[in-house]
Amino acid sequence: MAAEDKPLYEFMYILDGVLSEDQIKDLVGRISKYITENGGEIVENDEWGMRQLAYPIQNRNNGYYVSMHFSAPADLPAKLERTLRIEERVLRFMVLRLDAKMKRHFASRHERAAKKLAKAEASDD
Amino acid sequence: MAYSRAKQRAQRKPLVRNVTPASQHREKGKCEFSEAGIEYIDFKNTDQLQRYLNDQGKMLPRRITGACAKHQRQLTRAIKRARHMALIPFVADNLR
Repeated sequence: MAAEDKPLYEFMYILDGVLSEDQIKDLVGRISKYITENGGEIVENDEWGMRQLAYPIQNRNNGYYVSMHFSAPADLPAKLERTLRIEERVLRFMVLRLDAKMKRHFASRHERAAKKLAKAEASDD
Repeated sequence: MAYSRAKQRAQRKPLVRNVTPASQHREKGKCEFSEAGIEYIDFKNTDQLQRYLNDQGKMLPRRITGACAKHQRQLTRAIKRARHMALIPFVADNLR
């Protein structure tokens, strides 16, 4: 688990829906790498995949959603946001710092997901 | 045609579209979030948020959602975040 002194962040972004699978993979990898290389630690990575946008963004109707949680030093989100704003293939992004309530909410969901996973694995055997 | 338009208006769904709108399954004077012990309203949970929007995608007022001030505020924040991430629309003109 992540170091306790670093704040936990929720990070969600949407990639341009017209990109090819390889391009998406590459971009997702690059963004994740950017976080880890700048002292961040990815706690959970949840790729939602292609999804229809509720309204068009930059004339696109589809986007590739990625939702993740990471812990990082407090100066990372600002840096991350700066780089994402330059990247045109990222349609939208949002970084939220988890407060105590959100942490509890995340912990309970995280636990449930882990349990489900364990159960699925157990039934596989 | 004027006649058919009047007919359409009559057939239009009520303001609150849900089968069980928030207003109908709560007891008066109780906030359903507090009742359920919900501490944080997640913007990613669009099914939950959708229940507090009308047909046009507008937020329902507290008088209808029945939420206490604290939770209505949280709801507002969650809905605005979800809108930003294009999970729910800002405006939904369901013109047929």
